[in-house]
Amino acid sequence: MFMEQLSNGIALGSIYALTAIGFTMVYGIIRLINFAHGDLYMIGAFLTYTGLTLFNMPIVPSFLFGMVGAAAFGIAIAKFAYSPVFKAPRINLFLSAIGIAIFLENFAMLIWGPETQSFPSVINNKVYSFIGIRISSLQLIILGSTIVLVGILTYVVQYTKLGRAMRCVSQDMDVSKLMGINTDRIVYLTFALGSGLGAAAGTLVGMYYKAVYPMMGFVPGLKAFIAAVIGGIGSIPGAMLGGLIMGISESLGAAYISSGYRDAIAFIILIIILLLKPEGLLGKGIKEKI
Amino acid sequence: MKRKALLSVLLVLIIIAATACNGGGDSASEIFIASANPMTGDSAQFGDMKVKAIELALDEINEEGGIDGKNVKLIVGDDTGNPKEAPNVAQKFAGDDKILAVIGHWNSSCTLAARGIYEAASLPVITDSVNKQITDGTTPHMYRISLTDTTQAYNLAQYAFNKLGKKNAAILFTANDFGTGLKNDFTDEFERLGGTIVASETYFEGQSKDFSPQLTKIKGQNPDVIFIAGYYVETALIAQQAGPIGLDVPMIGTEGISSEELIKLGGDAVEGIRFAAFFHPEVEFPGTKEFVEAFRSKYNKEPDNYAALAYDSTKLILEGIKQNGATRDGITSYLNDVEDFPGVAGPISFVDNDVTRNILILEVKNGKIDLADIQLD
Repeated sequence: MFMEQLSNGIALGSIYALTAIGFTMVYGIIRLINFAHGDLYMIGAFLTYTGLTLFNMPIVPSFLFGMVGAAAFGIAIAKFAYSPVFKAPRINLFLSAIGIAIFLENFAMLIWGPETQSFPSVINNKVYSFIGIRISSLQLIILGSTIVLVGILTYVVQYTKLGRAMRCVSQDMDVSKLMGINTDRIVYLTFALGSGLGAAAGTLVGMYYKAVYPMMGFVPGLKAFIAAVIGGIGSIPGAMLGGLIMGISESLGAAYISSGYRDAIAFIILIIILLLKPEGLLGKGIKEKI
Repeated sequence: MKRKALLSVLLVLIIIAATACNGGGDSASEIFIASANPMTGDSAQFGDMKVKAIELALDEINEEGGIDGKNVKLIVGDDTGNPKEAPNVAQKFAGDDKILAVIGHWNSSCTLAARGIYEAASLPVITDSVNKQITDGTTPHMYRISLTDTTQAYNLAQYAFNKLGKKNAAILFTANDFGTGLKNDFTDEFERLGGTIVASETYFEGQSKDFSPQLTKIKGQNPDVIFIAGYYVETALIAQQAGPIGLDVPMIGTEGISSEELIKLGGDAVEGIRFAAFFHPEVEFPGTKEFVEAFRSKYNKEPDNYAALAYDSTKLILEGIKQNGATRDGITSYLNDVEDFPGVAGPISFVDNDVTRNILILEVKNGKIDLADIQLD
């Protein structure tokens, strides 16, 4: 039973990780805790769903449609909700993000209706079992996409010119401007990328649970935040590690302690890690100069 | 000059006449009832179904010319399924003298939070919430048209033990008043009959999407039946996730899962699930067929349990107005005295504010909700 619970945990953890990557990336570049990330995840899932059911597209174009659509949403949100308050104190930006989250949830209820929609099954979900572990093909796809996306993102941020510009913006926006970086473009691009990643996570989760609904982003948004903080907010491999730790601890906690306390277990881990290593597992401590 | 003065006086008179006419028209030629159900939020689809059914019943009576020539109108309130919001809606309705009766709330916690307010205003309410405290005798204006959670849990325990011959049950319940109540009652009755509850696991309504740890744990206890005390969204997910884990035992549930959506969400995985219900289009009472057809043609949807009960509630209220006049007290006294009112989900009488009716056992067969072969006696 331990091995089965462990594989359950890895599957759940890779979903958290996938959601947390986009979240942590936006924070890493713009220092914004994007509370609308969970709702962009929902919008992405709904757009893919629309592509599949209304336009009758096959899964891959629908998936891309969802990602690109959510990226467009991300840019529009950055343009109309974030950039007007970008220079204001951080709390304004933060409140703006919460406002956008509420707006997106109700927007989705208006367009797609409040009820849970069933996501068409597009992938033949086979179950593989070996040495006591049972894992389904969708779980493998989710785990695989998480690893691939983490790899690509790390490469982009660390080794490309665009990534260097992103890191510059994250360090000091005004100096970046002086160095000739088009900071607006970088900010929009970051949002587009983050939203697209959120949409990918939302779609995969919609596929996995065969259900999409307007409030689907709320809890994953919070969990992604915790996963990102555990791994060290701003660190992309950290988000993946944080997600896996949460997934596994929730599964094992539900199995060996009590299923009623599974969410509490995730938060207890968060508190322990914040007490022992406040910058997160893979986070870099930034020393403030006085 | 004189003509101008005359004209303005005339104009003022016309305006007064017009407004007076309007104001008079509202109260004299129309009757108002209200729906207090979740229209947004997690349980919005249930409120939506209920309002559709109520409007269908009102359309029918208004097409026939209303009651004594007065049209009956519906005022829709939204409690968002949130017990903090429900008292606000209740306050609004209770304070509005033109509202004669209320249908709602759907969520037990909302009904419990709001019932005192309706009671203080002597406003009759017909609810389909199942928590047994709702009809504990302190609120004589609150009527329940569905059966309590306790009755359902007892019946399901008897069904599983006596009819299906199951001895070891596992329970998966949602962590709220509804789920916990069902779990306790089912456990009591099943153990009284001589069965064993091998596992009780919990989850959170609207938040839990991953049930694999609970299901793996349940599988380790080898139950021969699983009782799911929750709603259809989670039940569909549980059924889907049970397969890959290798848990293949029959599942039973309450009327909380009796919805076409269960099949839309669950697909093949929900095949064979049995659950309690009060209404099925094929169990015909006078008017059932007409109701199902009218609902289908108006909304292009299948009416479910809640739609049928809301339809019957509306018909009851309208009949009360017809017989005892358009007052709150008139409707209340009608509901107290009503005997075997011909509802589309069976005859209705209230005993101590609770309806008396039979439980049907439905089963998902070939992607459709059908009557189960084995029924309760």
